[in-house]
Amino acid sequence: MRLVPQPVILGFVNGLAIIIFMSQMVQFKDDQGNWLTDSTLYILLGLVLLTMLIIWGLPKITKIIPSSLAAILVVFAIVFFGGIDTQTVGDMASIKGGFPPFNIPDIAFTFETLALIFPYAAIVAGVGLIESLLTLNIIDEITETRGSGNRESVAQGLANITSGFFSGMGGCAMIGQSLINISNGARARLSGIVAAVMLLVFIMFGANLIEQVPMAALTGLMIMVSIGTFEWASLRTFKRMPQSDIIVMVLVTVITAVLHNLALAVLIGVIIAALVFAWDNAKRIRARKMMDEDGAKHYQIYGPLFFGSIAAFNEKFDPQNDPELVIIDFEESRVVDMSAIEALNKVTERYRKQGKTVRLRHLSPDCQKLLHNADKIIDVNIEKDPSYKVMVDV
Amino acid sequence: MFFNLIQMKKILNLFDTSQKVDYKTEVLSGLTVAMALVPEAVAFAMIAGLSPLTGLYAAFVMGLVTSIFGGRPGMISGATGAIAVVLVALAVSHGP
Repeated sequence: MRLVPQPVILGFVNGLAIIIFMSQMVQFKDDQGNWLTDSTLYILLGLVLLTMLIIWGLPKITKIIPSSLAAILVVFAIVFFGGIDTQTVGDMASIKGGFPPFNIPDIAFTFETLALIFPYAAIVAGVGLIESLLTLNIIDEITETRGSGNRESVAQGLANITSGFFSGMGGCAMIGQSLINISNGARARLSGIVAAVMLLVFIMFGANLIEQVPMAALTGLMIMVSIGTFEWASLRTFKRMPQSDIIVMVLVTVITAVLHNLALAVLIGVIIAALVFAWDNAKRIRARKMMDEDGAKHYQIYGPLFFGSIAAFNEKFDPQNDPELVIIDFEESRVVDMSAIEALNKVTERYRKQGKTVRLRHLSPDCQKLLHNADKIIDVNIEKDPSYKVMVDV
Repeated sequence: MFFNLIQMKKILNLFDTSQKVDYKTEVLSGLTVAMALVPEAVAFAMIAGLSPLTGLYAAFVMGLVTSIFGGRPGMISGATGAIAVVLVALAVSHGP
């Protein structure tokens, strides 16, 4: 997660907010996918807006009970006692059931089965981990505390395995519900335990009651969650952030929201951000050239030397016209990777072919070791060169 | 015996006793979340072409396991759209 840059996280969060919002739009359509009309729509809209109003307004008056719970109860009461005809949870599907039956997945334990499920399992694991850890990050940020990513990952794995044995499907952290919980003020394990146990109670004993809950109340709640999730502040940073960061952010948002592919969105975001970083650093390599009184030419290298910058680095040198002794100084540079070491080998080789000597100065001990014939060319003398006479080029 | 003691301590450590728990908030919030879990769990199971109970059971089991053993108290886990989308193809070709 350390490699996921801020614009990717912002883009991801905004994408999730859009997904949550868009997924609620289904409620405003009928079974054929047409938008609702007339009274059905107005009732629904009214109830949704009432829910949102209570969730938004109640905390300003009292915090005695969570405003989202109050909103659900109020809308539930209005619909139930007012005999209003609107979509309820029960219209989606019956939620009545027993205790989750324990069963060992009924599959053939063969290599073919493994080959079939393995790609899905790998993707599910990747997507689940990314979404869970990003959700964890978001909650950390809101609560200004730190959760343990490792521990959460283990728990997610354990939970998915257990779910498989109890007739459940796979899953991961649910950002919407987590945010409802956090915004209600819950911070401890108890809230999650209560939520899970209450859900089972609903399924086993309260199905009839819960199936009466109007969808409008839950839709209003989720819309409020999506509004709260969206990082509105990120829109204001558009002018201040580097253009590449904005492109990454928007791209991740679009991939998340349109393709619903969280892992891909984050992966692409990280790759682009990393490439932009490499490109920026590649442009930062510079060489200051100067002659000293003994007729030796000095190259002072600035900026990191790595795979991205070696092309520019190589162009700096002119073995044919340089004097007999050339000194390359890395005091302001850093030799980062194998490509850089290779580039150093090549440069010294080019000068050697011309019968000229190259000395490398201020290299770290580990890259001295990696260079061929290191002892011959590296000037281990750390002391500064005395004085410069002519500055040839800047 | 020694092993058991360590294990006991590990289990007890799950519940950070130094944290002040606001029981009323936790319980009421848990109740709200449980209600908000229902439509999502049902919807995501149906996206994947599975019975609604598959999603509800997942939300119960996963919610319980992660809230007890997870690294982020207060975080809720369950059947999610992101997972459901991946499972659709498999559920359609080889599902129940």
